[in-house]
Amino acid sequence: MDRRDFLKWSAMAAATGAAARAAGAPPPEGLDAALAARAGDGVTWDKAPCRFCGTGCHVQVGVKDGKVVAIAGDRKAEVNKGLLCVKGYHVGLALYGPDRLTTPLLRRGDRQVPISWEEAIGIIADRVERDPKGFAMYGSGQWTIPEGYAAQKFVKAGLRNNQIDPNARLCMASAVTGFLAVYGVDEPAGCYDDLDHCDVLILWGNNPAEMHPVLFSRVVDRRSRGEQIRIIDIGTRRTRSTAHAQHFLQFRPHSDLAIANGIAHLLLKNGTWDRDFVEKNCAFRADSDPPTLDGKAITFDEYARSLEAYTPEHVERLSGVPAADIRLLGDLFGDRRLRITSLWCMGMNQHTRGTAINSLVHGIHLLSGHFGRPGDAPTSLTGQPSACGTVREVGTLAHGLPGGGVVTNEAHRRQAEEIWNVEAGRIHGKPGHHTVEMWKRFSTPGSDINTIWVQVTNPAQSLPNRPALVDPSRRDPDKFLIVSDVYPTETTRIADLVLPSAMWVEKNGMFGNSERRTQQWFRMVPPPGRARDDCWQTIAVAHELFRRGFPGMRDKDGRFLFHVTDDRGREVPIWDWKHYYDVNVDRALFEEYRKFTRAKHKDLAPYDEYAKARGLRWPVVQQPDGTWRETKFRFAAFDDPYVSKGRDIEFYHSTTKDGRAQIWFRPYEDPPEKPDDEFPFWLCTGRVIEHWHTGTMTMRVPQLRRAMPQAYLEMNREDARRLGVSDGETVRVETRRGAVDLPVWIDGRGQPPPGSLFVPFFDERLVINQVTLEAHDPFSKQPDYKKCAARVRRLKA
Amino acid sequence: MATSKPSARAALVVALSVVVGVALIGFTVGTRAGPPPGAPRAAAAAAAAPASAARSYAEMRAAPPPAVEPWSGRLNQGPPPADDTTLAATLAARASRRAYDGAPPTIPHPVRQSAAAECLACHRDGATIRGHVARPLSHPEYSSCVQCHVEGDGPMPGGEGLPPGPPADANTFAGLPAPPSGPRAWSIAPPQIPHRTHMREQCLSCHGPYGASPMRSSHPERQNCQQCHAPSAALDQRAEVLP
Repeated sequence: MDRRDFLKWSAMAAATGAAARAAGAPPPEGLDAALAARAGDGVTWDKAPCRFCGTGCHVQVGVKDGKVVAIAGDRKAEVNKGLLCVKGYHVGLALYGPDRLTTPLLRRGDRQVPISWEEAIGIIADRVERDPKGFAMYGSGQWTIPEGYAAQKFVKAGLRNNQIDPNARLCMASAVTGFLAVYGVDEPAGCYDDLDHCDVLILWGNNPAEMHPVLFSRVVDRRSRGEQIRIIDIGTRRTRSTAHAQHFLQFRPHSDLAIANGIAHLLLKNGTWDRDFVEKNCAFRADSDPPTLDGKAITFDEYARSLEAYTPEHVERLSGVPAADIRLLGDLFGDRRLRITSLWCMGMNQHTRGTAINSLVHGIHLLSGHFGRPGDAPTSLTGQPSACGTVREVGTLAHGLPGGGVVTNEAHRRQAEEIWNVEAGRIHGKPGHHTVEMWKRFSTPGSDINTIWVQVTNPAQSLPNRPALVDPSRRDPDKFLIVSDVYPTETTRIADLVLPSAMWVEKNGMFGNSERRTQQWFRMVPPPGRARDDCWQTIAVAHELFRRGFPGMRDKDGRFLFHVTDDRGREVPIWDWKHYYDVNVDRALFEEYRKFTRAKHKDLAPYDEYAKARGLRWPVVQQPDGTWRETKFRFAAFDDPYVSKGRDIEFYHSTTKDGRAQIWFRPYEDPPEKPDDEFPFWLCTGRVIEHWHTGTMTMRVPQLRRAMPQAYLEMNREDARRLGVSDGETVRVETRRGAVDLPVWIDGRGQPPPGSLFVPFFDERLVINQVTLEAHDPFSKQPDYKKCAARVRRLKA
Repeated sequence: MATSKPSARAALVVALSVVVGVALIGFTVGTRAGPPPGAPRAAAAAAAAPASAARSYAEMRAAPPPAVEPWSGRLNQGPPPADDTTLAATLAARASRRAYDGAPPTIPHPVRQSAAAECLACHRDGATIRGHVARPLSHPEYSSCVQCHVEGDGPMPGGEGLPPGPPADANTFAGLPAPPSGPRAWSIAPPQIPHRTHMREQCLSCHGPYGASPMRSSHPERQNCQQCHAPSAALDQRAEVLP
């Protein structure tokens, strides 16, 4: 919808309203009526990115009579070329669960009772006024870019306490620290086009057949066209992706660092590393003492000496992967004629050595020169639709600022203060608490975090070790939990205040996917009942505080922090829901946010360019003829306009300021908890294709629910036989933190090796995060959901 | 990913042309040699019988070819008679496995959860197994079947004592129903294709011998479906008006 369309709709809405008033009917509200009028007799179609994972497929949404009635893959979308996965095809049904939250609810004793929006907004403002320093926001990689931007500004310029962190901390923080440590700037250099060009695809603890199905199809469907692609699955259990792979390299959990070092060892020993590429573009690095993200410089000789121990035989002893298979990997990386793409997601990120393994995998691509050509790429995938767009780019983290800035850098703070038109010194230089710490403090009596406002996520199910991080806060009368969501969840059930939210195409939005692609969509249907946009909720609370004279909510000219004007420069009261869609608030916020993005060469185009496109990959650079050009391959001269003339490759945000990327040495180290006599199993958690994260949306879609009705425990047949456990029998899984009873599924979706267990985390009735470990990576603070020690007990005698 | 030089490519083309040419000559000579020695007598007799003469469409209209059940041309009768009960039943059966018209159907039988390509054992060319029809794939270029198609009923044992959890069956989504037929310009004009053709390029998957009546084509001798049945630019997302 362009501006003309919008005006047309508004006019239609006004006319419909007038007609309705004349007929004695209550006037429909604003755009809702226009939306209804638009639907007309037939189905109207409009584009939107899918609501679910970080792949970022575009769907065509069919709307009739104000309801979504059909979905189709968007054939104009480069990401998915008309294809979707089963979740994407059913994304429209996620709006229509019978128990949508439709009114604000306040806890009174054991009950949650309906209240008005005015009352709810007032209560939140009271909590801020009572203790502004103790008010935190816990957000999400499912926040739209404008939602995250508004929350970021609300906390960092408004509350001035930097207490904002997202669930993305749990899913991709180690990917970020890996990119920063290696390239000095976040996010992948390559893009999904690499999947069309690679000869070898290496999956590092990754199951894209279920988690990023459209991307996986993009590779395996090449075989239908006669192309040869070798897929190597380096995993801790057999999955659907293994079924498509030529090689399955089964490794002991946590030993992926040994495998990566083993490859580097062979490249050096065989002389097959790319000397020319490395001498021009790389430097070497190792951990400093005390450890820092930047580490310390080492020489090539020191690097080579550190790797000496990692012979294929030594790596076999550490990882369980046969030395011959390590040599196979060494030979593949040593062959520059091949194009090699590595894919990873939670296996490498949810890892207490997540930063280390991320930097090692980048390192072997750099060392072998498998970098900077289409198909040669170390590619980190994200799990959420806007983990990149909202969290990593808008910087909705305790230490972040928009556009890749950090609060600890004075120049970054000054830039933000200037763009936000607030006085110098408004933003504090001390980061807030990271996710695990925020919740630990919220669950500690008398600590500094007293209120958490959760938006677009379900921490009571997704945080590790829930008995320690969440439950104690619910017994403490001083701790107040506010949750904005669309359905009742594990988190809304224990909340003090619940706010009903609009979701997906019930609001305007923007996402940013795993390949730096920024996407946009328009509101297509009205939200149910009194549900409203999360972004409006944040702005409404900000304005209530502004009205009460809270100093943080005004800029240095005394205007409201979220001052939005119409075409004629008059302020629009966007804090009043009736007027929220009088202007395009997303557009206003995005145009402001865009000013931040040049600093780290993450340039974004104007909002209206995204309205026309199926997403654009940043940096999006304006051409002499006025058009906007996206960048597919960063740091490579053939595509990236920011590479200096005369260089083939340039890492222009290098931590060493010399255009070089860092090849790290990081040793294998034992994990913090591993199986022993008392708890003899590895326990891994994860996802399945049918359900998205905590299942609050997909468990309400009949087709997905029937296909995968409940969580389960995957166990190897040998272990089951030894314990006398039969298929379908409910057993108790215990760790040092708690226990969950789960039905056993043998040779089901995945097959773990003997001594390993797997449980998906989507089922709110069988919450495996009651027992997982909150131990986290020292740099990224991301917890390790993929391994802890567990035992299995039969319930039947 | 080595790319050959133009001269090398030209040489390759010449060499391949020679090979193909020799093969063609050999084939032609081989077919002239009559039935191979030792061929069954019946086959030889059949080959000797005169082939029926090709007939024009006009002749077919004047004297319809004999019906071969379940296949019969009805070119002289206009569209096949509409059997509303059958059509409604067919559409209902289809709808029961689809969230909306165009949604990927759910799988009405158990599958091995970790499977990759075994679906093709029955669905590559189509098959009838104990009265159940396995339709041939309409999009054989896609190879990760379980990416889009999931079992219609839960695949795993256990979990009987669980609380109900989030309500799914009460989902209020009302999917777009399938159109009973495509629009026609006049009463016996060939109907337009009322669904998108992307991933449905193989018309015979549903309209061929394994198709359910009355979706099955009445004129299977016509092989080029889109000669007469026009696809919809809007449904195929080819229309310029689409956002």
